[in-house]
Amino acid sequence: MVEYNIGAREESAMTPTDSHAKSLDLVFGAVADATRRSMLDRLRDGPLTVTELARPYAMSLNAVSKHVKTLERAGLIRRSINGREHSCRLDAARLEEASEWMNYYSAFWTSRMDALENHLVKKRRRGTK
Amino acid sequence: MLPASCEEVYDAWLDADGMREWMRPGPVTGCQVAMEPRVGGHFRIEMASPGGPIVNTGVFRILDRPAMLQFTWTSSRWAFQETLVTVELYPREGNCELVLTHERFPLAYSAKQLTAGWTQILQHLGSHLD
Repeated sequence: MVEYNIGAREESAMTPTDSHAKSLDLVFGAVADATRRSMLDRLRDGPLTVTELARPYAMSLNAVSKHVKTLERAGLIRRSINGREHSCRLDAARLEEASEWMNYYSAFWTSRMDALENHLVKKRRRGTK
Repeated sequence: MLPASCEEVYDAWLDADGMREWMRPGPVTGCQVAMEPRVGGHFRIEMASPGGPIVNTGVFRILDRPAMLQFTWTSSRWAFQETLVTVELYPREGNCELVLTHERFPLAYSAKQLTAGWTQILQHLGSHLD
């Protein structure tokens, strides 16, 4: 089983340089919210105006606007102005690349760990250390 | 769950000869491994595959026998973007549970934009093998 965890992570010796840390926090903050994840999902099918984006959610347009700003600051969506409406577009390349990378390494490590297990079993049978 | 002690599993990660066997992807014809098994040491894994050679390089950051290994990991497949792999080993009644975490740090696509690229993969072998 492979789990994908996208969420906040505490400071540790493994964190990247400070200049990256802030952007990571923004991304984590952005996707660690069900409404925003739902928005990203819907934007996969094409751009939506903020009004259209707001439609299914039981919240004020102001609240929706805040979510949109959060996603924008994290670089996950891009906004353009079309007359009076703000149109939101998913930065698909970014998400797709991340998704592709995840799939690749999920398969990669799964197969390597299988092979490692076989290797260890063989080693034990041979009685070598 | 791996059928070995944590010591055996840990040592397998730092054994270049052994790694040649298990780092190979399925249809691969050959695999070369070179490593300096110490903190700050480099490693290079070259795998021959139908699509061409894949090169992985990195540096060992944490080597804590038999509990943890951590190393950077870059791949020719992914433009040598640096990522971080952490391997944690937990003893489970003579066997070893391995948890592998692979983190990707954001690239700066442009001066203005910072990516959303940090993904965390947790792999529990026990569940996988069930």
